[in-house]
Amino acid sequence: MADQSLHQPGHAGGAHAAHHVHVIPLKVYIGVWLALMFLTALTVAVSFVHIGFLNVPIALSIAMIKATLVALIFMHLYYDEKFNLIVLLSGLVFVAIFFAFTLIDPLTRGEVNADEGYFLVPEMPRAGVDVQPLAADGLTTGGHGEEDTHGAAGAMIDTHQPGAEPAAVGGDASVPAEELSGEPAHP
Amino acid sequence: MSSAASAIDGHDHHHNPHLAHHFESMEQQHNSAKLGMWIFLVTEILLFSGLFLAYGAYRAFHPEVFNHASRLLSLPLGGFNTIVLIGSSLTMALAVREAQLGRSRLQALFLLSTLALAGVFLVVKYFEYSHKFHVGLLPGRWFAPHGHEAHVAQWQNVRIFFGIYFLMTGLHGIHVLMGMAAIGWLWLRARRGEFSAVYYTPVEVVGLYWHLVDIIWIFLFPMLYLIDRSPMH
Repeated sequence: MADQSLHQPGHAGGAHAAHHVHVIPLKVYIGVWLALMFLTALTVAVSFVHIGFLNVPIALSIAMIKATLVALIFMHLYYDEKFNLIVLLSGLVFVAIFFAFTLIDPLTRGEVNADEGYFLVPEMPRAGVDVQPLAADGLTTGGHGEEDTHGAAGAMIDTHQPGAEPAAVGGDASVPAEELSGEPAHP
Repeated sequence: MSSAASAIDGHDHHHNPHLAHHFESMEQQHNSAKLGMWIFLVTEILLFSGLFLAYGAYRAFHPEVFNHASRLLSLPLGGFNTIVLIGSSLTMALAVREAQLGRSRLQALFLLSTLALAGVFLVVKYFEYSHKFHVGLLPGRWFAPHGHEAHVAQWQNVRIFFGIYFLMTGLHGIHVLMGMAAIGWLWLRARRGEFSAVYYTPVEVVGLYWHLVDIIWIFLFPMLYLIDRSPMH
């Protein structure tokens, strides 16, 4: 049989091995495990540092390196027939198409319609901003009646742009009240 | 045909009881099984990619919500589980290695270690889930934070994060459970000495599956637990 030419008894570690097996040295496995542990510690450490928009790419890059290590060594892709790698990569191509064409919409909404760029609802607490709690149904604020913007804040319109300034809510002067409510604030 | 005879003549292609008649050799059979597993793993990646995409879209819509909701997850428990799962990936890889070397005793031990670590992962996940259930950090209409998380109730969109959190970790948890069933089956077979350096295909393909489960968690951990742990600004 042609397969016999691939017979490598030295690698298989036993006289019974009848096919090509590449047994990876123990120290490679341990080394990869140590690298995975180090990268886990690194990704935790980075999450405690505020680097702005770079946090996401860094976290995903570290995860990608870890995944690549697992795939190449633990899953033997580095030593395997390359066809398995081609199967994996072609699958990832379709994932990339799936992601790219879907995310075109959510990542660019604010550029098409500037009005969607404002936070209309105080989603989260911000330092120095007095956030009025939403009522249980999420539709009204309970009408404290100080300013009309509180009513606007309860309108529960949750379309907005990532990175937009949420501090505009709650009477902040940086955004005119009429832009929050969609109608004149002081008719 | 006895296995002793096949070991002597070295031509076990048509004699090994594990060789299906439609394969030329044990190696061809082994590689075909691996190729099949890789194709299955690609469908698994596509399945999870839908959830990863949902995560990406909703995080784009609600960056502040995801940022703060992420802090409601327990970093010690999530980090511990990450270490546990990576450790189980190592023991699984070593089980495959022992199988390649034809050593069934250590192989069974490594399989059992993998099973135990997977069990630890699910127990920790149980405690995380029950805490979230307890304080009402739940998806959709079940979102009703109370107790020491009562202050979260005023930020209604946090429910979106927890919808995605439970879907992604839940589907991953089901995969861990399926992996445990497969590894348990391997362990029983390894204990009976059913695998050898010639035939260990089941160990290898279950190993591939288990490493994918690990890889998915490698992404889930930073995406869910580590969005931003810097001091509140």
